[in-house]
Amino acid sequence: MNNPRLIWMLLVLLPVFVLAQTPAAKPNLDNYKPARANGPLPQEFLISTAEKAAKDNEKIDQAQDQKMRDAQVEFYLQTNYSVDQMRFSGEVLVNDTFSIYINRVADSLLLRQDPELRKKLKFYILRSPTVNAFTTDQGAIFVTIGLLTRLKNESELAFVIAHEVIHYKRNHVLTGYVEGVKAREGIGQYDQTTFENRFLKRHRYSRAYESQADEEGFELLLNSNYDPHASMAAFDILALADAPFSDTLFKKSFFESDYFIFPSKFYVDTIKKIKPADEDEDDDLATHPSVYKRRKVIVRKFGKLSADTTGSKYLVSETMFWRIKEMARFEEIAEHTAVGEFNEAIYSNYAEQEVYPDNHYLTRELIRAMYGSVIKKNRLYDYTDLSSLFESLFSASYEDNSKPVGEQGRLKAFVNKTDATGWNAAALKYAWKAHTLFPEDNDITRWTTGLFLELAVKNEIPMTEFQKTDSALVAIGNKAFADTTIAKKIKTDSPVARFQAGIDHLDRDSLDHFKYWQFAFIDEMKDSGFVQMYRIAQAYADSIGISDSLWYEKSNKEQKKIKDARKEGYSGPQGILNIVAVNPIYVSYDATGGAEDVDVKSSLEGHDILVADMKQSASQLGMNLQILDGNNMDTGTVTRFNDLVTVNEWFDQRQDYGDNQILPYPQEDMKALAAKYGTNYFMWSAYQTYKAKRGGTVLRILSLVAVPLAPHILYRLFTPKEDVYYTVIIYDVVSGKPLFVQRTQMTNQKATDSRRKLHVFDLMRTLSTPKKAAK
Amino acid sequence: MKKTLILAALIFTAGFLKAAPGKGGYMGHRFIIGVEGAYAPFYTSVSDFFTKYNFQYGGNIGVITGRRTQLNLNYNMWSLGNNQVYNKGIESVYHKSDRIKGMEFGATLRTFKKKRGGIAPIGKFYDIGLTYTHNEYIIGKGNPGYNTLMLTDDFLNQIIFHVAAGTQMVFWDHIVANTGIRLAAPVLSLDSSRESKFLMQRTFEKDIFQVFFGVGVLL
Repeated sequence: MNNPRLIWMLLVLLPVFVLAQTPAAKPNLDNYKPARANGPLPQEFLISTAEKAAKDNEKIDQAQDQKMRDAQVEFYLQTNYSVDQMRFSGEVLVNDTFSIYINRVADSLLLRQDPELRKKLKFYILRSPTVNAFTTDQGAIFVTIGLLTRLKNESELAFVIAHEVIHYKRNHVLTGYVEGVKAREGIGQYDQTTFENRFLKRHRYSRAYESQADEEGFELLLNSNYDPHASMAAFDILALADAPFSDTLFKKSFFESDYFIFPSKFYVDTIKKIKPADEDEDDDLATHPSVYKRRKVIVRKFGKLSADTTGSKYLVSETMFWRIKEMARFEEIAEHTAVGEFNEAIYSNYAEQEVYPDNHYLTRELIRAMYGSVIKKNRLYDYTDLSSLFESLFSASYEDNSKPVGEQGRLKAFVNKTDATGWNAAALKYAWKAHTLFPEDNDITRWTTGLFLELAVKNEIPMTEFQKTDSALVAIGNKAFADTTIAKKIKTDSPVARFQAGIDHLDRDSLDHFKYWQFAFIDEMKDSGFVQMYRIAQAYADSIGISDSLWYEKSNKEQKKIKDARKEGYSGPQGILNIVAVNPIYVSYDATGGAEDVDVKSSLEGHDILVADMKQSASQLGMNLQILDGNNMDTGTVTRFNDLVTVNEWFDQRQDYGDNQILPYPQEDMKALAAKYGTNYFMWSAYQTYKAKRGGTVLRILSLVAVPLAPHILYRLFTPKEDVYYTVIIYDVVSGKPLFVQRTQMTNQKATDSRRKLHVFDLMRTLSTPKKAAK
Repeated sequence: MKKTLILAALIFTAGFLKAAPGKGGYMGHRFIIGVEGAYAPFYTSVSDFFTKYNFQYGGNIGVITGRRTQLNLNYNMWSLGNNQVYNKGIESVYHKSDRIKGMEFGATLRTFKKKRGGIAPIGKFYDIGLTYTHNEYIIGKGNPGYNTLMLTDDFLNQIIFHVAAGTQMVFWDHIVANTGIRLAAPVLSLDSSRESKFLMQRTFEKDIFQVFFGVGVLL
């Protein structure tokens, strides 16, 4: 393949076909359940970080100078710590369908060529919508869910794995770290050069590693029976990494009915096409070469092969591949919602519903994402402080809704342009339909209730605002039809088409002051259940006083009163004697060397001591304390690991939604966990210590002037400044209500053992003291 | 009977001092017995080291009364150098060997700073307290004596109000240490001798600004 025209075609035309993918047969995902870890936990989950680091230290070449040896010790500690943090973050899947498949692909790639290397590698799935794969020096290779959704065949996955395997085989992670240290310190080839040159040199190294991984990964793929052409196609995934996994045409009719029609102005007719990022750009400042350059390297490799070089697209299973890919798409939808990317979740869900209409999982996920989106939209200007105001304003003005890119962009523009009430009504309409279809699904019922409350409380819309019949709609349509200029625009004459023309072209006065969303529930108003639910939401809205539901509308006095009541309500004795402590965090930051780094050794030791302190205090106070964290996983089962995943996800969601009691998260899972652990009270806590250099000049001057204080000043001069922060939050996970919130700031105070012990003891004592003793 | 009473008192005290986790303190330990030393530099004095740095030492017992409060009963004593210059006609006499001896006992309420995360007995604290003080002028051995007639009965009894700020730590679960600065001033003179004006001034120098260090045992 030395023909330049052919190369050009490969480089330019391949990305065009990226979105055109067809499964052999649609996998059945009717009863899809979110992926969770299975089987026994692998050994690496059961060994402590310190042990892993100690084992890695044995690999250090003792002939090197001390600085380099120290750098490597630090590297092994840091990487093991980071990987373990990731392992127990709840984002990693083990022994599930995805992991089993990816391991089998790795087997097909390596077992024949390098069985010893295969034994050293562990593959994990990272539940992230980002398109990425990466390796660690310990042989842990992570592939994201986002990447799986974009693959077109198994051999592409094999190439991605091959690329990462080479990074591990060639020790790129460690070498890269050491190069970084050398560049920072100006050692070796980085000696006697400017900072900028060191930076550029360091990045050149990094790009060289990537090219080596591409080239040798290609060889690995070639020597297996996988199709080597997959390597080229894999770059298309990179070029379109920021685009959604689908570009299915978005129609607003998905959210509409015969009576509920959005104005056309919310729907952008002309959109920009998605453009792959594979131009020959300047990559001097990048750690990775540009996609264009990487593709070129592989094209050159192809040039050296005979024209008929080929291989199989599937060595494990084509059926399994498509199932995995679709499952990954289902997972990605949930992940978008989990991180607050509601529009992305809604669009991906919309695209998948084109393939899987009426799928229970997708229906649930769409309600969840729409509910999250409604909460966000309804609180756009409901700020409690300046930073949240700026955040609201920034997010509101950030996206250019007039020139969206791709179909997802069109949907985003639609949601952004739609008013809060209309969007809330659309979400409630969809949720109510789902509720009638799946009445046994308690989460759907809960989210539907939440949407009723949003409409009645946050949008302040009483039920009487909604029309029970279509007579006004027909009248508006007729009015539009009577106007000859407007009538010309009606393509097919129907009450709906006339109404669409009416809401698009008549002003509000001509619509007799009606708004389009007032016709949203003409069908639903015939359902006594719907009316009853709305009445309850309305009664709740009346009881709390909807007139000042927004924070900024309250007077300073009212705001202070509420703040004080919250403070009072969330502190003091709780009478809790049975509690689950989730992931007690202990992190030591050390900024004495300039940059703020995590002191991994102290953090690991601190964590163990913190947990021991908690247990000791609980035992002294007669409390039943259960610890749920990565350090006490059962060896034979992944149950606790999955419990940890569930509570971590719940907590993240809980934090994102402030006082909103009904979370767009599967609450039923948490109810089950509360029953299992025999308590509704779950505690999240973090003990953080900071160490930094003191500003010595003032102290030195002071020591000359204020001689009597010399002992204190001298102590301060020769010791670092230390701050300690202890944050605790306790939820009743069944009701979702926060019970206890405490943030203690101990600035300029040493992080001593006794201080930590006392604060843990004090916390446990406060929690265990009966409520009536508060006074 | 006497022995029985002593035994009962010991048992009662032991029970009283036993760690009671539900009542707070440091892991349930709420009682502290300690010693304290303080120095009060006063540079306008013209005399020697002991006059410039007025040393004071004593003992205290403390009880943690609440989540952020500790009540201390203190006893302190001192022996200050004399810096009085007497003008008797053409002769100025300065009696270096004379001392001002005194003692005080009082109560201090120590409040740990909520904003800085203080929980008794650890953290930054503020003190307020009242102390009864008694000072006496003691004539040194080398004093010729002709001035002493007017000084032998010199004494001063006062009530002192003090405030302090400092930090308190616990080491090895049982050792309490604290340090800080203390400001004090008399609020009431109970009774005094005819020359007490000098004593008043001299003890004021000691009390107005002190740097203190304490160490104790947590029971």
